[in-house]
Amino acid sequence: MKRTLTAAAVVGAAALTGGLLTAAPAYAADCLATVACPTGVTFTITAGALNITVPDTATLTTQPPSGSPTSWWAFGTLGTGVTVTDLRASNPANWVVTVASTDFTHSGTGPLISSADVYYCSGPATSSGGVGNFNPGQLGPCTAPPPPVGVSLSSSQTAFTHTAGIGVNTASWTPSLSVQIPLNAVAGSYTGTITHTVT
Amino acid sequence: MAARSRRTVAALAALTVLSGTAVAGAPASADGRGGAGGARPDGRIGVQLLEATRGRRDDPRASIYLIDHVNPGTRMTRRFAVTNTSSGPQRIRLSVGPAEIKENEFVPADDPRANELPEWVTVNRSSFVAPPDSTTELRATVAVPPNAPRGERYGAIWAAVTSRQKDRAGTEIQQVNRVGIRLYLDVGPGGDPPSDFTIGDLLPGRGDTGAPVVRAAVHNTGERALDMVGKLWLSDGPGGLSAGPFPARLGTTVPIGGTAQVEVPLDRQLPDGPWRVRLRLESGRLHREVSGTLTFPDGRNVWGDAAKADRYPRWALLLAGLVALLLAVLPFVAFPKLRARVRGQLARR
Repeated sequence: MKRTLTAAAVVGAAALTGGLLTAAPAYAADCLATVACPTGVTFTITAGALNITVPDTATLTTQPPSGSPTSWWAFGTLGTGVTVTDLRASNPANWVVTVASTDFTHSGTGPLISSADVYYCSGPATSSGGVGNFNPGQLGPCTAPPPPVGVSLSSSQTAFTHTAGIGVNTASWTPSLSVQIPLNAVAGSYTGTITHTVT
Repeated sequence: MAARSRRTVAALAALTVLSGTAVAGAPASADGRGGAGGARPDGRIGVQLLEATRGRRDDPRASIYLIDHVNPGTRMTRRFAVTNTSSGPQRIRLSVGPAEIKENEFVPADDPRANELPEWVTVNRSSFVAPPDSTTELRATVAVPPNAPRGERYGAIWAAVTSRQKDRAGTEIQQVNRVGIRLYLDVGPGGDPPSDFTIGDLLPGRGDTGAPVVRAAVHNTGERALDMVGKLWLSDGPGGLSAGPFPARLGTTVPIGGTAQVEVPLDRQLPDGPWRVRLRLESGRLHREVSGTLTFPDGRNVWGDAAKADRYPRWALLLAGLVALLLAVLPFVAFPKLRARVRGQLARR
């Protein structure tokens, strides 16, 4: 009997030790695991908004042909640039800006320019303010092609991030775009969309 | 629907390709310099969440993102606002799109059908003209079907504004700028699944420039994505120096089961140490802290020995366990009367 008691005590103490060793209480949920969470009751948030500039149309300039084999490029900055203003006054106050491009279509019968032939270069921040790290997606310098500087927009890419941020902050940059024009292009105009997304 | 809106987006700009000249090999005419038009630099659109679940009042993430756990077959609405702080009216298009966590960044998914959120989340208006300097209140409805599989989904409610096309024949590129409220929607029966993370060893080192840096790995061991922030403090250094807090640099969002590297860049004038170091990381209401003692190595691009963790050393826990064991057993060993009494009670049962 004595042995049973001692054994029980040992087991209990061992369990206690084990508990202490692995003590990492998971974050207490808002509601018990067995009960449905009420999401109908809310409170009002009084902070500000996350903002992005209203964009302007941009002009690309066709570059003189160069290189071997000859390649044609259009290059230019994207208007007055992009400004993100984070007035949410939060912690964390992090945001990510991604950029995407559609394929460029010709006004006439010319071939498509694939978005893979569109290169984006954010360049450094032209201005920034607030706490945190302001990280351009592509440091630059964003020089005219060839070779194209920056990342191909075959899929969406990170243009700018703000990390380790606290409180109100803002950053601006003036990205540039290089578009490779196919050699079999015919006269006319190409159309495409560049989308900046901040969240 | 999606295709249509994309086509609307593609109401675009023109990049005139002087291919006629190209073929002729003549230099392209300089038809205008790159970009800077007459845009007002201050014109902005913004989005903000106006309400959040009461139970998440003390979670700072919940007041900027729509973070919720919902049961299948339920529905909820959330108010949000779109602001136009430009001096002209702006046509705002609203949409809901899926998102993903890629390289520890919360980014829109390239595949518009990456998850079910675009079907489950609807906004009461798809497009409207926002007057100058206005705030427009809108409503998003989240309706999760009864047969929805469990798991966390990511997405965003987007407000988009498109640049005005100035000259159809010109050399313009039209742009779309979007700003979004993130959605972290967890679906499943019962309550919120646990969130948790662990911090690995603190590694002192020096970067390319020779400035000291402390690195650690964060592992998301919970069932929801985390948005990390953190700080590091140094104390008890040479001559009793203390320094910090230094902000931690890390990927903004850690996916479920994912690992992110935390780096804390420090001032290069700091002496090598030894220092007592404390790193605190948090996501919403959840926070974890590690501390230890470390010494920075000499040179550039080098890593030193991992910090000796001192917060809960294993031997201390083992010792505590042994003490508890002794305390539990001692009374029975030391007092035969107590032993007899317990034995008697057990026997009576």
